[in-house]
Amino acid sequence: MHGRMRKAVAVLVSAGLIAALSLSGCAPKQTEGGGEGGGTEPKPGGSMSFYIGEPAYIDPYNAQETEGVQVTQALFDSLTAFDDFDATKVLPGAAESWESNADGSVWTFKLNPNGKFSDGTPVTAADFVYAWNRIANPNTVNTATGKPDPSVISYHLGFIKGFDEVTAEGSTVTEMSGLKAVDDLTLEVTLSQPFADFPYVAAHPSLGPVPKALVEGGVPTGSGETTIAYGEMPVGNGSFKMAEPWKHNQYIKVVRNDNYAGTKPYLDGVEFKIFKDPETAYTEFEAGNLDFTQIGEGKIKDAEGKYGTSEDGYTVNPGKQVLLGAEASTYYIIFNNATEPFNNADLRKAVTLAINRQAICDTVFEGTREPADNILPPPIAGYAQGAWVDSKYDVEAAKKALADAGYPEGKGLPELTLMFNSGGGHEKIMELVQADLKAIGINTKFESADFPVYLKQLDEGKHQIARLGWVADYPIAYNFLYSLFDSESGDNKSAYKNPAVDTGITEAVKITDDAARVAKFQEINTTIQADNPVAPVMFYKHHHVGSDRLNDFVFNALYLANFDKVWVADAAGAEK
Amino acid sequence: MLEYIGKRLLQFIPVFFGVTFALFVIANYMPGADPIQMRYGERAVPPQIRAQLEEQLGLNQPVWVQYGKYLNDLLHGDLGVSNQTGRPVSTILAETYPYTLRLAVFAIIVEIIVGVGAGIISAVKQYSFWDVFVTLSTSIAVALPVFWLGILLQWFFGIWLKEATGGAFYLPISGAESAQFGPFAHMILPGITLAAVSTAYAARIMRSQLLEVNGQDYVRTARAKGLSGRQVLWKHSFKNAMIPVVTFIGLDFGAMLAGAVLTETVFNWPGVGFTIARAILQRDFPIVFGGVTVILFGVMIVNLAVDVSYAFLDPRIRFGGSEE
Repeated sequence: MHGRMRKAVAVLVSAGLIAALSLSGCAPKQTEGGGEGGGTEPKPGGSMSFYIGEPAYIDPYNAQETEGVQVTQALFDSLTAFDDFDATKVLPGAAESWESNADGSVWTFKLNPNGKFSDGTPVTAADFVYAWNRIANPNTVNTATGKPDPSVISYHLGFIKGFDEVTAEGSTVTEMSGLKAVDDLTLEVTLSQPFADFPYVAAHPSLGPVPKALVEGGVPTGSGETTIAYGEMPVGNGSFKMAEPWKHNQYIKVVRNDNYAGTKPYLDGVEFKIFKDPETAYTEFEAGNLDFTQIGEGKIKDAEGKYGTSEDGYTVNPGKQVLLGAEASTYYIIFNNATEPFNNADLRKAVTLAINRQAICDTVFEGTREPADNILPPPIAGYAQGAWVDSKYDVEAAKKALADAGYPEGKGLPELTLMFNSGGGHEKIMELVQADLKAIGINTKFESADFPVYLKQLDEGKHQIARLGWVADYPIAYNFLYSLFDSESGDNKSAYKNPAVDTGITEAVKITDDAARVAKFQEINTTIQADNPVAPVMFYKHHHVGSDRLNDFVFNALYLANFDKVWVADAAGAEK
Repeated sequence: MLEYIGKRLLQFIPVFFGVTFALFVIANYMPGADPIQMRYGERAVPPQIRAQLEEQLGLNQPVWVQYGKYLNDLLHGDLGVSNQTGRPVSTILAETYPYTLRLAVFAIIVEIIVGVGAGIISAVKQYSFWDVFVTLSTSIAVALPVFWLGILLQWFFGIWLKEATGGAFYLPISGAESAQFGPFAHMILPGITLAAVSTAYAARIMRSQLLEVNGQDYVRTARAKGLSGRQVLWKHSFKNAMIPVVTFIGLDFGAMLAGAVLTETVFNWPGVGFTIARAILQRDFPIVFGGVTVILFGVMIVNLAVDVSYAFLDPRIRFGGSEE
């Protein structure tokens, strides 16, 4: 009797364990989200933590993905700066003013005379010349190894005169002839062709000045005897400086730069916490150990309920902490415009009208994407609603276009191939697209491949329908329209060739009047969309959240955080 | 014995060549094996830069030349540099391997104490409450997905416990160290997660082995001679039952030394597993080769230690010499 009782208890205990484990689906308790918010005065002091993935480089010469660029932006001030909210404005940065010649092919920048690196050395025009040549030169060495390690972001400087000479295969020229330090505070940039949008290029966070002595000699740490490679602890002229060397895969700590020429930030410092997986970062956020991160998969509505939603989609204040603002990136489907059957404009029109973009955004993305009605996303200067007239869901019009193409109800059209890269989460989207196309009579099959293989296939023109995404480097129309549609562009994977567009772009970049230039690009956009060479599908939006400690924290459409204006309410206290 | 160890160490050389050469061939003939494009993401690679990079990384040489260069560099202690970040592979491994080692040792200790201990108690008190409990819970544990257990532990110990105790008591749920908690506290949750499934297996194997040994004639003889239960257990049964358990734990330790990708991802543990996994996705071959080389060493040494331990556990096993 006794033994059997014991056994029964054992089974019950184990069953209890099972029950407890299966209750793990329960959501954690609600945390207090509200706070006083905006009305109080900014207080100096305190610090915040910010989620990033491990960057490839934080040395600005090769800062390439959002995490590297984010750190670089905190450490360096480029000549100019983007405005967080208005894409038509370029703000002064390390340069207090600039002007161009009549057609925008020569630019002169006047530097702020108070500009200093964080170690107190003054910033001069020569530091910009050195930094930019370093990016362009394919023989630039990696400061950690001393071995050649060319920058992959040199394309930013592609317009500068002398760039082609420096980057030519086997070239021994190491300096671009178009860069000149006229004097310590004046930088003159001569371009190989007019480019009126150049101040936007100059605002890119990777184009800041670097101190040659520290790059070549190493950065002193602490006691002055030991030096560390510049790439592990870059020294810049920005509002923050590195507190200690980069702790790979764990964190990057920066503190306020007291030698900063501009308005000093309120925060004492920022800790960039490096996570392999955004889900873990979100768990840390929910535990109260992280101040800003992406929201975990499937948890956006839940987060909005707990933390409140930001009014403008980009600014975090207590109680309004979830950010859902539009980003400067577009997800689009490409056609192979050069071969059968998509060299037929009506067929392309039929496909783009057939796609139910809203359903994709709602079903697959819980509303964190917006249907695209333009190849340019909203934060770009020149975005106009509905500019791509066929980028909408209209089944009747799609069927008519299909008939016009010579395939009424899809008759005579062979089975088409929908290509995409595997492992990027594109399957669900493609399933919906496949169903949409079937509804008008077009049958498709999938073909997916690993990313590098996929890109190769696109380059070789082996695709019929495929997908891509484009993220803006700068918030200008040129960045999309040239890169995706100019016949010379290496990023044009749809084989679209329209001489009118090519000429139009060449003309547009010469227009120095900002409003007129934007208008001209809008015209070019209208020309392109009539051909439907690609089908824009959706715009990316933020799906981020900040903690209730943050006030006036902006995370803009270009995926860059502004650490200069943010302040924390518990400034006296705990570093998390 | 020493002869045996010497022979085993020599055997490592052909194993090393075989594995690395196979890896090299796979890496080079794998479709889409283009590390240069990986640096550029979706952007087009400028043709002049491509030519330059191929020259620098030695990618335009035939496979056997690249392999020869790799071996030559290895003999000089140079594991190459990462294609993605330009950092030396030896630095990357030196940064990450100690963390993997630390976590693996912690997990193995948990596995030995909890797993073997539970197995022994379960076998000694067969059919008791404890036995049933261990049997049932190990059945569950063996089926648990590692990452699910990890996330559950994070939620329970990091979020729920913190709220329940008003912030007074909770465990860190990611990273290897922080200002608040020393390195040991950070190891607890990932260590338990990593050890969970293996501990269950170890307990089961220990239990079944011990039961089998206890049924043997010599154990019955020992009992008949009047030895107490405890003496029989520790002097006779345990050592003989241990051999498959030691084999299992050894293999497991070897696997943990290769890095625990899922655990490292969930707990943001800066170990070598995730580094190698990401390198494979990015076609960053120098890291993959360097990492695999280090893993080969680790696994080989652990396997050798396991084999040598057999001689101590079972006197009937001797190496290299003639039978007595």
